[in-house]
Amino acid sequence: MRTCSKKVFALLFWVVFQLNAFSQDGDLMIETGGNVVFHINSLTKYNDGQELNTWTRIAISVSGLGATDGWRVEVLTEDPKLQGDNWGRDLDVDYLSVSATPFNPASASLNYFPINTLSAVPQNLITGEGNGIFIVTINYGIGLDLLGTDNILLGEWPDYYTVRLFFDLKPN
Amino acid sequence: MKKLALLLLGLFIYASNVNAQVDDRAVIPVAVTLNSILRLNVTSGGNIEFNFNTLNDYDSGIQTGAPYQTKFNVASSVNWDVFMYAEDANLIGTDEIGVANIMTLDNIGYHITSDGTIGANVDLAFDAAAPGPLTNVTTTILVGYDGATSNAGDINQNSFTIHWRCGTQEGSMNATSILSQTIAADRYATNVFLLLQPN
Repeated sequence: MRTCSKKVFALLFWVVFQLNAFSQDGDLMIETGGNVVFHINSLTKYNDGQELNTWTRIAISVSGLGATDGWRVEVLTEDPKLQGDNWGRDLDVDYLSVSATPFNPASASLNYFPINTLSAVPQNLITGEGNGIFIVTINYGIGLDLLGTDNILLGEWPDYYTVRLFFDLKPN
Repeated sequence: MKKLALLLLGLFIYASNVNAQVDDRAVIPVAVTLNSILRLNVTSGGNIEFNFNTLNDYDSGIQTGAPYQTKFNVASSVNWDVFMYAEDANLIGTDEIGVANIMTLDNIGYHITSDGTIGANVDLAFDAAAPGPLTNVTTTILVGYDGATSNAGDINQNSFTIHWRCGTQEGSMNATSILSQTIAADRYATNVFLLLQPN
C-alpha cells in the first residue's frame, strides 16, 4: 500500500508538472480603434481612396511557447462582400487593404506582411516566435489600388456598407 | 484506490481545460459610407438665340457655330445619363400678345460632342452629319452610359458641347425650310431642360 501511494504521488507530481509545461496561451486584445469607418465624400476620395493609418492598436499576448515556437496573426473578412444597407448592392472586400506596424519594442522583432487586397480567405499579417506582449498598430485603406489594377471606388453605388474583419491568432 | 483514480481523472480533465492553445480572435467591424456625387453645370451657352434676317437664313437655316453652342460638364461618382427635353410641345411666339404663334420644335436641331477625356465611353446623341430634332419627350437621352465602360468621373473627364442649329433641314430635323413653312414673324422661345440622373 505504501509503495502504491508513492507511485500515485509521483504520478500526481508528473501531472502537475505537465500542467505547467503545457500551459500555452495566446490572446488578441483590441486596445483602441475597434470600429473602422471610411467616409468617401469627394471625387478625389472616389479616385484615390482613403487611408486610416494607426487606427487600431492590438496587443498580442503569447505565453507558454518555446523560444522558437512560431505563431501568426491572420486577417480575413466575414463575407466576400461588404453588405450595402439600402439598395441590395454589395462592395467587393478587395477594395480594402490592411497593414501592421510595430508599436512597442517587443513587436519590432515580428515579421509584417501588408495585405493589398483583403478577402474572406485568411492571409498572414504578422508572424512571430516565442513569448511576449507584442503591441502593433493596424493601418487600413480603401480604394487605394495598391496593385495598380484600376480597382478604385469611382462608379460604385452610394450606400452604407459594412463587413466584419477577423484577426486570428494561431500557432504555426 | 478508487478515490485516487477519480482524483487523477479530475486532474487530467482539468489539465485538458487549462492546456489552452495560442488561438484567439479579435473582431473589428468595418463600415464604408459612399456619398453620392452627381452634379451638372452649364458653363456657357445658357441662352441660344437664332436671328433670321435674310432670305437665305429663311431658306437654308442657320448653321451651327460658336454662338450656337452650349457647354456643360458632369461630375459623378456613379454611371450617369443626361436627358434633354423642351418644356413645351412647340416654340411659342412671345412678342404678340393675344396671338398664339408657334414654330415646331423639330426646326431646332442638335448634336453633341465630348470635350473630356472620357468621351469614348459615353453614348453621344446624333452627330454633325445627321443632327437630331429637339423634342419635349422627357426620356430623350442626350449623353450617357454606354452600358459597358463606366462614365463616372470629374468635370475634366465629362465635358460636352451641344451644337445647335435652326431650320437647316439636316438629319431628322424638319425637312421643310422656315421660308416654306410660312411661319409668322415673331420671337419664338422655349426652355430646354438638362436632367442628370444616375444610370
